[in-house]
Amino acid sequence: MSVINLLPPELKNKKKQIQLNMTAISLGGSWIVLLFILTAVLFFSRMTLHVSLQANQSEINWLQNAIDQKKDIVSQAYLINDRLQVIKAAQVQNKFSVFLDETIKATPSALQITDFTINPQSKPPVKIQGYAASRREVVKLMEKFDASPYFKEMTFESSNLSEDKVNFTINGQIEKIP
Amino acid sequence: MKKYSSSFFIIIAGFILVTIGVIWLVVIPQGKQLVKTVKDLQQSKRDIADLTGRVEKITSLEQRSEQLSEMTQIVSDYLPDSQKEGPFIVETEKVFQDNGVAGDIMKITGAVKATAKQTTENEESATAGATTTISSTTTSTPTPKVGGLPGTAQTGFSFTFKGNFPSFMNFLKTWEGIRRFFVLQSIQVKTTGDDEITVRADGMIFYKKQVSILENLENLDINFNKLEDLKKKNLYSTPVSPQEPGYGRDNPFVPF
Repeated sequence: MSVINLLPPELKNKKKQIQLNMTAISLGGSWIVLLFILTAVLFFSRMTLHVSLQANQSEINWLQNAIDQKKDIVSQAYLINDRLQVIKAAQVQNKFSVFLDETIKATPSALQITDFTINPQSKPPVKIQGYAASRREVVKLMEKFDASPYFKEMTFESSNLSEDKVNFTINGQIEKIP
Repeated sequence: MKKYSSSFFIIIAGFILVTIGVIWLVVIPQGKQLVKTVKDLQQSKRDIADLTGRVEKITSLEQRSEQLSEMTQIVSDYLPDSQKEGPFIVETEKVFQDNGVAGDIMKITGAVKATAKQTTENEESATAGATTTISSTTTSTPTPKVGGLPGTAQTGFSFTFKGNFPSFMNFLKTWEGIRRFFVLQSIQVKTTGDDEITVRADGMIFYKKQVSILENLENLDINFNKLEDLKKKNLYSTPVSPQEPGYGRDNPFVPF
């Protein structure tokens, strides 16, 4: 059986428009409601997390107070580690006794040192003056120093003979600081 | 035939405006606050873990407070928080006396700046008997090659010793191992007699005013095994104390 709409076309159109508007309103309203539900979900989630955050903050304050009460121990621990760090870095501090030990080993039997200066910041860093039985003894000293791991580039500066002894001056560089 | 009426477009436009308004004014701020709260919560959990770790470490350190105090004392002797040249002089004097060497001139030349050139004033001639002079003259010397030592400050010294060479060598080796961080910058050995030498030693003592390491959980760990190593750095002299006996004279201006 067929249905015949006998309404005039204007009314028919108006009815269609009203239906369309109602559909748009209901869809839009549903969308707005959904948005508010989403907002509510966000809000309550945040509130729940906020409660946990407040509990954590209280725990942090309690722990911080516990640490503050032991401030002395904390300061001591940081001081010790701070100083140990420097001590570790300072392991390379120079030991000048090693230079003198090397000099003991390098000095020939017929040679006397009267002035021995070692200063890594001066030029030359090593300066040695003394007496020797001959210039050969002086060169022996230089050769021995050159072979040492702590001295290098020994140079003969001057020498003069006085009362059967050679008065000499030699210079040198430091190869490494012990 | 017109398909959509103007009222339909007004309704659609109204809903779009409301949607934008709600998202802009409500959803986005709520979302941002939620993200911030989540981040704060995560941070607070990390903070709790860190602080709990600290409390545990502090508690364990508290149980070894005696060793902790001893270690603090040793590292403070080695690298004090101020110049404290007094203990260094007393220690040096004890070591050279123990080794049969005389300390002729002991001079503190003042603060050492890290970059300027050395301008040490002329050395005074040796005087008879041991004398100690403390001067406020500032000496500028290049930084010693002792590696990176962040936060440390230096004070120069210039000491002159007299004695024989074997005694001096014994003294020097002992002196290099005392419980105070110092560095020699130069040394001059001169013969003055058949078996006599004069030695001038210039160097710097170090100190550190502040603690410069990070105050974190890791740096609360103390390696107590290091204590034994540190104890090898001997203390030869008795530290000077204002509480010790031997103070007070009726007339301080007459010879003792």
